[in-house]
Amino acid sequence: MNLKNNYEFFTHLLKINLKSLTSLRGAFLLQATFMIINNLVFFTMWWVFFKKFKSIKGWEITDLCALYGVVAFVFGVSVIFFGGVRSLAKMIDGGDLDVYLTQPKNTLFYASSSQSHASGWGDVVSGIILLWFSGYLTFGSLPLMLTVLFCSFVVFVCIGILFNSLAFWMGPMDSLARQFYDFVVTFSIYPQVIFSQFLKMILFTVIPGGFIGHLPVSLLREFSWSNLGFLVVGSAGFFILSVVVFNRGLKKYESGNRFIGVGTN
Amino acid sequence: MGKYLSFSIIAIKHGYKNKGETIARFAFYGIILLVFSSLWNAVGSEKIGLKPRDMIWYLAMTEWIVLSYPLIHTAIQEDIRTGNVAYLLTRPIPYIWVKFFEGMGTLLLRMLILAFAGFGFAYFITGGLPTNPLGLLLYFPVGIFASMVVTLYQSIIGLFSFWLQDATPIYWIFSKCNFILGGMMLPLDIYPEWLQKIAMLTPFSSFLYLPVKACLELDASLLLEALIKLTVWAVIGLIAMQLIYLRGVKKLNVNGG
Repeated sequence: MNLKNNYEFFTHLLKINLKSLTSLRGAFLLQATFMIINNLVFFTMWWVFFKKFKSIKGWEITDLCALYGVVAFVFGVSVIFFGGVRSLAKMIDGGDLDVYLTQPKNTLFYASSSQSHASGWGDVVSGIILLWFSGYLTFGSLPLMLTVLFCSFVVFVCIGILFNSLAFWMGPMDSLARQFYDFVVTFSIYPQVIFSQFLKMILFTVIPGGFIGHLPVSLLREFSWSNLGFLVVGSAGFFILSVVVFNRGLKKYESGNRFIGVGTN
Repeated sequence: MGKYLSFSIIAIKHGYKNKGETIARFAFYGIILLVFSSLWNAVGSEKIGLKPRDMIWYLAMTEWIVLSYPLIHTAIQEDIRTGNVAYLLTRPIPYIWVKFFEGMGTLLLRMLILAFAGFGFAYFITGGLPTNPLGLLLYFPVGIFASMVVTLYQSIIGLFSFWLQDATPIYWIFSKCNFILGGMMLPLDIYPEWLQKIAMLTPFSSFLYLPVKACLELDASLLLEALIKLTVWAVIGLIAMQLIYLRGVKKLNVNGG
């Protein structure tokens, strides 16, 4: 299947997901609006913090604003476009991948983009607001901003695929995969200048929150080709690893005989 | 009362089997304490009048409550969304009390397990006990009481599913208010005065900040204030839960035609 076909399929799926979300307009608006409030209220903790402490090892409130903005934006975009990633472990364990396996589309791509979450729109809006207030979102920085956001987004989606793919080998681990995902978010929203060397190493490998928040914002603060290269290579590495692990796992997948039920209800 | 306690016991047995989630909560507790100990080491908590060691114990104590209370609202909204609530309402005991007591069972099991986690991680990270170690013993029953009141408010959030189908957005705001107005990560003492006043008028400061500060400082008058406020918020919560539940059931009857 060529790239053009995949793109057309993806845009159609996106339109259907969006129609489905907005069919319950009240619920959609409520979720998106409350998520914006949720994120902005959360950030007030840092506002209070920086009233007392002027900086954390050189990181000021504008840097934290950018960090939260990047993570919120990337989280939002990932659950809007690839909301199915968070349910992959459940699909694998419940045998629900049957529906996607019988289609002439890439299974991982189809299953990942089969769901979209309304709250993601709230994350995207609050992400843009925070990036705007950080002062890093300018016309001149737009190409770099888009590049780092894209790389961060790739890593975020891919680690979701990796954690959830463990269900191929470990069985029911939906709850655990979500917790791992939450660990990554938790580590992404704190400046990594506070961590020891050992923890920093973990944050670029096992719990790669460093690629999602810290490195993109470090590049916005002070551009360097080596850091950009590290981010690009890191995101490409996580992309390849997630696809390989999912495809390996797919060979161990046991059907849930779901295709029998399709269209019979 | 016996029949309600049976639901709590069933929830405890169910929770005991769910080891994966318990391990994850255990790990998350350690990670949060590790992140914040790194933060306080980087900036120095002496600037806000607290020893770094007490600051980590403060966080361990607030997190003990926050990580223990069950998300009853998700169970209630699932019952409403799937239509199961129609069958559960026909039982000879009020549906909301069943959910509340199930939540109590889950809460007590988690508090017991996480008490070991909190104590162990905080002791390991700080290398010692807080300035007033006796406060930890005092905090055990006080923290459980505060968690019970939080669980009550969690049940109320779930009842909004009768109108909204999905009460999660209300939970987001509730948890963030707990975070900010409850002083979960940062003690309210370091807030601007106007924000402290607002926080003290809400139930959130009684859930977390007041009980923890009273026990950490072994302050009898502050402890009395915390207990009185918690009791008042518990009574308000109980009345609100009953009223909202009765209205919600009526609304469900109308929808069911």
